[in-house]
Amino acid sequence: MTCAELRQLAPDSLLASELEPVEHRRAAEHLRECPECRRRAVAADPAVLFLDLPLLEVTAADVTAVRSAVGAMRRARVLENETSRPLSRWWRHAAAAALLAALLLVPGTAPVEHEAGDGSRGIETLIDEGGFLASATEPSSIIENLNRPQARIYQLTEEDLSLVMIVDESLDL
Amino acid sequence: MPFLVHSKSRDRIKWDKVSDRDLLRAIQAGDEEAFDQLIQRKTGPLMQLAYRIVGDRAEAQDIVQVTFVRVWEKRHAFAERWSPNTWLYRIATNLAIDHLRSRRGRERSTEPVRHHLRQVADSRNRRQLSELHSREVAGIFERLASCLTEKQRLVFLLRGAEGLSSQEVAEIVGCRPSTVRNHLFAARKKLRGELLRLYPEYAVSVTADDDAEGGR
Repeated sequence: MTCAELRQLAPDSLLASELEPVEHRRAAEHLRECPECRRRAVAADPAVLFLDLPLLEVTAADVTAVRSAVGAMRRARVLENETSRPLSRWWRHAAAAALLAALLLVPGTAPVEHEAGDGSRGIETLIDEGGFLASATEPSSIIENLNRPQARIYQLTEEDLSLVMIVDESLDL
Repeated sequence: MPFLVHSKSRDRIKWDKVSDRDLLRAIQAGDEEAFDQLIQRKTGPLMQLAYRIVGDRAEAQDIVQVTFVRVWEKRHAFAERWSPNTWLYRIATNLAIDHLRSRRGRERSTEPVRHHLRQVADSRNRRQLSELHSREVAGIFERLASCLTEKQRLVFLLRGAEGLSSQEVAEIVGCRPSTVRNHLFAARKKLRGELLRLYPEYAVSVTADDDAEGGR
């Protein structure tokens, strides 16, 4: 681009004119190389000064670094998705049903409450030597010993079956 | 005679010649080679853009990396109505702006900036505004750009420094071309005002030049 072409293009300010990107690039290059045109353009609009912000030199090593970082980030995302994927609702329901069925089918099964050394309470189910679930105490003793004020207790008793459910009310929605 | 069934270098040559749009179409279909080619082709321009927005090379590279990951994850969102460059620039620009916001939150102290400006001021003693080197200009711009709104700054960089058309800038920033022109006008006005306020020595030379131009 010549000096005359540049001055004809943008008499007031290069920034105000609607130059095509190619023309804009040529004008910026000319300003970089021609001190007189640059002086005139900056005098007309000091903001034109900022057309010449430094170009960043991007090397092949930068591209390689970006490529490997992107690959690593994508692998990490895949791994993260796989490990954080919640069990599907179907599987959760199936697991709950299977557990309930096991408790109902095994005679004499009952969970028991126990108190840990730190004073916290929990429920455990013991497995006897024959591999069957067996209760350590009777359900009635669990209810008697339970002193949590915020608990609801459900009990299901059949001939050979005792099922006790203790629900912490503080967890209610 | 054996047949060539598959050759990575051959694929690479093929991707070298396809347009950006076809590259993005192939990426939408899950083509890893096309994605690799996009990284090779666009790392430079995107780093340039991110660097101009955040002003730091390492941070610009981080932004570009996240941009490509986002491109892969959102590849199905690329619509034919977009220009590929506009779509990529839009993603990178949004990430750069988010980065700037979080950085502003972290860095409340202005002392490092002042120190840098003192260095710039020392190096530009008694020189014409138009004679400053581009590094010095970048330092001055960093200071003055703080008076611009995010959109004004973006529009100025995309339109002025990157040389994109108003239509392209409008699509990247998410506004109308007429709004781009308004932002550009406001940015120029603020930059000019701040430049003359903070560097009054230049006011004399500009006025003198203006008078000289008017007298001709």
